[in-house]
Amino acid sequence: MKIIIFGGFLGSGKTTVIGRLIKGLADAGRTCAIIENEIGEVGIDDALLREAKVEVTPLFGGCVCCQISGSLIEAVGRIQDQIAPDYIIVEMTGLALMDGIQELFEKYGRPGVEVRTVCVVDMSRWKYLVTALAHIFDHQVGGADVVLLNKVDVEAPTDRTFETLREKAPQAKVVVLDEALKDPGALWAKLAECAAL
Amino acid sequence: MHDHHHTHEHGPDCGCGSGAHEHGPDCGCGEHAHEHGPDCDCGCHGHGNSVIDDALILSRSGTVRFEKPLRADSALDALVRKIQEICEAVAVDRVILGHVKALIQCEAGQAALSITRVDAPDVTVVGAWRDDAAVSECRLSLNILSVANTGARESVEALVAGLFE
Repeated sequence: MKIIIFGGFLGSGKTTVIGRLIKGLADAGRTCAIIENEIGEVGIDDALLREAKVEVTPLFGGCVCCQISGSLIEAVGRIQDQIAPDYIIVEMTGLALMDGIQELFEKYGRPGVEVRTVCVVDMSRWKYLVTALAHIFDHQVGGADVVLLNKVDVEAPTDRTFETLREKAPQAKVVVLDEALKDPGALWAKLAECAAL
Repeated sequence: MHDHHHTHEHGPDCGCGSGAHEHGPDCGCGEHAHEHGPDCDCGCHGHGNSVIDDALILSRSGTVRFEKPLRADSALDALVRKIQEICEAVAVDRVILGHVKALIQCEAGQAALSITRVDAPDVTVVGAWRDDAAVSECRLSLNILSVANTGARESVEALVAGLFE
């Protein structure tokens, strides 16, 4: 079983990308379960994902990167025991910092579980991500195995974008979510290749 | 011959078998992770909490009533406009450094709203939706998160309160 952790700033499109990925996984005959971490007491993203008829475990009351990390580990364990899916997809809050999450699982997760981290980047707010939001952004892309550039129809990435990402996330594979990757099967294939899923 | 009596601090490795110890990141028993936080002193994180602590976070659910029944598409437009007003209170150059999300449930169906730029609300219908359904009220769930203009909390709360009955 593998865990795919999605991070990225608020409103970057994580839920939409996950919804597409779920369809791609289902079409490829793979099973998954979702853990949805939302700040705020009202569950909205989990309502969207439940439409895809996938098991969704909501985690409220804080952020799994820091405040409720124990709850995340427990939820993963419970899903492993009760459902045993091929993949557990974790959607972190948009304020979660990703650069400690792999270590969290290495330290406290069950042995043998592989973790991959994906950061969704909202290109339409790129200039804010690298300035006013840099203190969050750096710790999101900095912990990612794959960086997905989203909303590229609003703001296309430039050479400078890729250069900046190489500096901030030298370990990450960068993928542009273009029109072709709106197809769920294509998205799944691309992520599987880039993140060795 | 002397009897030696001594006490010792019980711990996971003390070997006396009494066994009790405080679980923690370094206790080695592997039983569970601990809740990280500003007082946990494990050193695993430093600044995660401060980002969340300093953000403007507001969630509210409740019923929104319209003065008269509206077509579902018009009701949705009216709600989106009201929520855009709230977005303006936290936006920087009409961009939200955060997001405003809403779930709207009514006679017509369910719709999800996500706004990161005030002038480009993203509305997604969830399941079936009937534009021509007559809607006099709906259930609205609203999540507002912003790391900018956090001082606008009172005016945002007033705007949100004005939405619900």
